[in-house]
Amino acid sequence: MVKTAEELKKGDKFVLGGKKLFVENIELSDVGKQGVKKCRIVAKDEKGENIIIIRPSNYPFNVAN
Amino acid sequence: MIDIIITSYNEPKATLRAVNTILKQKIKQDFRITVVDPFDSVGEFLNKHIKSKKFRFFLDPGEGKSYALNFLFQEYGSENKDDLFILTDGDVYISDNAIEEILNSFKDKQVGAVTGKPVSVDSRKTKYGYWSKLLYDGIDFVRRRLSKKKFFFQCSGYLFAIRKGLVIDFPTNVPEDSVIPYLVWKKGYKIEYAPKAEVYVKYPNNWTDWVNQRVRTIKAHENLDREVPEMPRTKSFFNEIKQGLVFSLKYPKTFREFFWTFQLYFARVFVYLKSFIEMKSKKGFKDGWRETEIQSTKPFD
Repeated sequence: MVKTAEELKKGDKFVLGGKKLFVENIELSDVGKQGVKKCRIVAKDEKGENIIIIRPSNYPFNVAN
Repeated sequence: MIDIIITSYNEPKATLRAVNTILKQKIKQDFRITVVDPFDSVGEFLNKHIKSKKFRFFLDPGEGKSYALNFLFQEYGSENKDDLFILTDGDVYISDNAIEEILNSFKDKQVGAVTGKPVSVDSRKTKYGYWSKLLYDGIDFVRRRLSKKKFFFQCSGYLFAIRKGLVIDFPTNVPEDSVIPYLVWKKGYKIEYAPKAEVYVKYPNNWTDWVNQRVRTIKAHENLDREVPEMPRTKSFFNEIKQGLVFSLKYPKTFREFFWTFQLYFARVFVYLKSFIEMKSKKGFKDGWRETEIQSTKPFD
């Protein structure tokens, strides 16, 4: 299932950089110089390490059900 | 898969040379080259001149080099530790054996990051050319020593490589050639110096460009104390004095070079002071493509 960055919710799972990640938190910025909002996604990998992902709010993620 | 990422800033001709220098190398492993640049026109130029399927262009949204690298680390990442990222710049080019030398260093499974050796293409007969030779030979001396002792040291942003899967994100307001190797080191891997993997660099040739480039670099490195305070520093004012003074006094071969060396001491103090003053007045380093273009380091564009 495809979700945009701003549609992600806590607990959503996706694979990025070969790692399975779980969404912990999402913050949405104001419209920046590129004319789009950006999402700062804090995700945890399976080892419990936090990964920071910054993407435009409309960036697609393949989320596992 | 070996991902070679070239970050550039509106230097299409130099970047074309950087790509072609890599494409002609004998690389047995599967690889691809990605140029990251915030200018569409650079992509058009490169796509017109490069026909290899191994090449792709990534239009950076203008958020800065570290943002672009974070993005590609996440999109191209893998858990296979034999996969590598090799990072270089568009305004430099690498020696014919550079990729091979870097791959050889990674045969040791404990090696997590490898740095190449920056070599100035400028003549020692000019002041700025002499300064470049002194500073690059100085850092070469330091890296050889630290690598031999298996200590941590900062890599060269002009050419370094890491195993994939070790770093998937890193802070954007500090120099990537320092913080990425440190994150690798923290995971228990060694940093290796591959001095035969040379990367050829055009140095600034006037005072304004030299100061702008140095101040930007110093400010970025000084952010490390705030963001990653536990990281051992290779590049700092005190390390320059401690590790560089004797080396620099032995380096000159003529009276003119002695004179330039002493000028360099004052110039270094000046750029450190300017950097600290600007940081105090809140004009610190922020990730982003260069605020001021260093025109004299652009070889063609």
